[in-house]
Formats: sequence, structure tokens, C-alpha cells
Amino acid sequence: MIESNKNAGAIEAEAADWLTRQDGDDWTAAGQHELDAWLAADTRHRVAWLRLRAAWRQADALRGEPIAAAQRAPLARFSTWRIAAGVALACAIGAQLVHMQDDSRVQRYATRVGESRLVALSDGSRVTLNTDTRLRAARDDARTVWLDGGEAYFDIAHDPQHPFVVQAGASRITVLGTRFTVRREGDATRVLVAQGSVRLSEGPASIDLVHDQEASAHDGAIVRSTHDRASTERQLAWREGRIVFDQTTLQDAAREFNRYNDYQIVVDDPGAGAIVLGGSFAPTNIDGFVRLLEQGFGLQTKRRGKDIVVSR
Amino acid sequence: MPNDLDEWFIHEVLPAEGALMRYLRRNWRDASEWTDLRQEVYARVYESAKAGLPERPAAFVLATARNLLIDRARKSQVVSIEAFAELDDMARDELTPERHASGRAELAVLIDALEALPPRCREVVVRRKVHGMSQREVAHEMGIAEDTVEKQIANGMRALADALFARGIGAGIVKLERKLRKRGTDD
Repeated sequence: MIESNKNAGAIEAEAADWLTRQDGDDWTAAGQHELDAWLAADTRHRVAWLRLRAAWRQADALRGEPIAAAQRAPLARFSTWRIAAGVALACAIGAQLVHMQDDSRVQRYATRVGESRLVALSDGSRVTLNTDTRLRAARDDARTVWLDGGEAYFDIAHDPQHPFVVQAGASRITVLGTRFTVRREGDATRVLVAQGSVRLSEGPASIDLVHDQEASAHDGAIVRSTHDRASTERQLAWREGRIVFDQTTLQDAAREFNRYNDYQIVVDDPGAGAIVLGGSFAPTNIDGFVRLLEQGFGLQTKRRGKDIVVSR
Repeated sequence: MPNDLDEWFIHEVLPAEGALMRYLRRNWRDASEWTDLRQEVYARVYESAKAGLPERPAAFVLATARNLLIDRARKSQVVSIEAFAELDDMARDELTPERHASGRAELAVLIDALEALPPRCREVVVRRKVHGMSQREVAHEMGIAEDTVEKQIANGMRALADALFARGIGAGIVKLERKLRKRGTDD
């Protein structure tokens, strides 16, 4: 009864479809008949269906809770512990928003390593700065900003008459109203769109990106890739004080951690660097991550000045 | 419709999912296979239970996981089998199901999971589960196709299940981190 060629994700998707139909307004005896056959066909079908069904039933406990359907402010969906974690993070490193005006026409915003900050622009747009980020905004034109380094998430107030422009080195991102993140990596600029669409141009090259699409612009060339929703959410988890890995190699995970810390993880062994891991981490808890590597993956770590060298 | 075995699975096996996922994470490096392994463990547990219910379901789930990993390791010959020779001490700590939490705590987990859904998906699930609308009413009120509502509900229930049973991909690790921190000295 247990066949092995279908993966768990595909079976779970089928189970979810069945439950959604059962949950709908047109569930029929014929449908029930088909479902019974599907459940009987493979025990993996049944356990996947039972698992989702139990969760969906449990969600009935939400009935009548004071929860609004619409989510206005994008940051309002932080749960209390996340806010607490964010505050703790900010306090722990004594982070302070550097917010200075060097002349009357430009406003500068910056974050230190490990810090994250929300900036409200005068047009109603909100910008969340990630670790080690520098951003300039023109005072007389609220719809233009310059990302000089690091990464920022933009939640742009809709205004069809006035496109919002992000200048990131040689790249320019033009939007009407949407949410997306822009990250500088050396000379390259990466843009990931969470909602709506944006236009990314660099020199003569120009492309339009929609939600869950990411593009990297470098040296006049732009490369585009498409993600699923979950992957986009993972890449944006830093806004909630987390970095999330899913099938991420240790090499990539280390690079990500290093953005948030003065201590740097150095993976000294290609075998170890290729280890795939997953999980959600507080970006500045580098000690916890290192201990996870030691105890969870059996790797060796050695401190060498500001480097933490990881090997098998 | 669910039989006694199904009820047993829901009430005795699913609460062990947090412990199961932690065990898989610790003992199987390829994260892309964790979900497949989980499902395979569940199917094996369910099949064995047809012949008689094990007395300690959580321990049985972990023992099944261990056997499965050993089978897989033998087949692939890439991982040393000794790695899972014993259920390690941490897994032993986890043998008690943890999810007989109070109703209020469970509600908090649900709300957390709900708030973590993508905005459109969340809107649909809130209308269906919090406001008690039917799928058709949700489609009508949001001005979207019933197909779209169905798609969002399917996504929503999968995300809620992950959050509730394994507490999401992060929760297990967070707990693991806490545990490791307790063992460590400099933190």
C-alpha cells in the first residue's frame, strides 16, 4: 500500500485540494465517494489528509476572535514576541538610527551591522532598512531615494501620477505602488518583488518584475528568476528580525549570517560548505548558530580573531 | 470518515510531530527530504497500528523514524549507519507529547500562524475561520473567483498544519537553540 514515487509535497497538495472541496459549498456524495477511493489507495494519502484535516478543524477555535480580515499597515502583523525580539535585538546592540541632515536638501538614513529600522517617508511610503544599510532621500522630492549600500524593503504609497524611483548604483527601480526589497552586493543590485510590479533598469537594459520575481543587475546585464511565495517570504523574514534558511547550503547561510555580525563565519571545507540546512534564526545569535553546527551537524569550529572557522 | 485508528492518529501521533521533526533534522542532513521522511514515518506508524496500537505512541514514532533512517542510509550508502544507532539523549527528552497545551496557548499559536500567512491567503482564512463565512461568501465579499478562494484555503491549511504540529520550520530549531544555549556556558 505504500508506493514510493510520489513525494510528500505532491500528496499534501492533493490532500489539501480534497479538504478544500469538502470545506466548500458544493460537496456531494459523489465527491465523498471519490475521496474515499483516494484515501484507500495509499496510506500516505490518508495520513496527509488526517494531518491537514486536524489542523483545519483546530482553526475553528479562531471563530469570533477579534481579528480583522484586512491588514492595513504591513508591520502590524508582527506578533508580540517578534516585536519583543526586535526590541531586544535593538537594545542588545545599542543600535541607534543615524539620522542626520548634512544639508537642507538631502536626508540620510543608516543602520549599523545587525540593526534593522523602519523609516517613514513623507509621501506615506515606508522603508525598512536591513543590516549595514545607507539610504538617502531628497527632501524636495519624496518619490526619489538612493540606496548606497545594504538592503532595504520598500512599501510604496500608491500614486500613479508620481512614480517612485530607487537609485541603486547604476541600477534604477521605478514603481507606482508596491512592495519589494533592494539589496546591494558590491556592484550588483538585487531586487525581489513581494507585491505589485516594478521596472528595473541598468544602462540600456530594462525589465519589468512582478511578485515573487527576483532580478540581479550587474554591469548592464539583468538576470531574472521566479520564486514561489514561501521563498519570497523567507527572503523577507529579516524584516521580522529573523533569517530563514530552507535547503540552504552552509556556505550561503554563513554568508548571510556574516552580513549581520562583526564576527565572521569562515567555512574552510567544501564538504562542510555543501551541507544543506534549514531553520529560522535570530541573525545576531551567531553563537547559537555555531553551536548548532557543532552539536547538530557534528562540525568542528575554531575561533581565530574575528573569524569562526568551520570544518568537518 | 475517520475511524478509531484515525482518531488515535490525530490525538496520539500528530502531537509527536515536533519531536519527530527535531529528530529528523538532527539525524538527516538533507533538509529537502524531511517532509518526505515525516510522511513515510506517519504511513509506517499508521500501517503498524492496524495490527495493534503501540502503548507509547511518541516513542513508537521516533523508533519508526530511526528504522526508516537506517533503511535509507543502507540504501544510499552515503551516511554512516551508526549515526542513528541510538535515539540520542535529546530525542529521549522529547518522548512526551508536548501539545496538550492549554486552549489559550494553542489559540496563541494559531493566531501566530494566521498572522504569518501571506496577506491574501490570510484574508481568505480569516473570513472563513474567524468570521465563519462560507467559501462562496468569501469569494463574493472579496470580489474574487471561487477558484482563487479554494487555492488560498488549500495553501492556508498547509501552512497552519506546519505551524501547529511542527511549529513551523523555525520553531523546532528555536527550541533546539534554546536547549543548546542552556548547555553552553558563554551565553
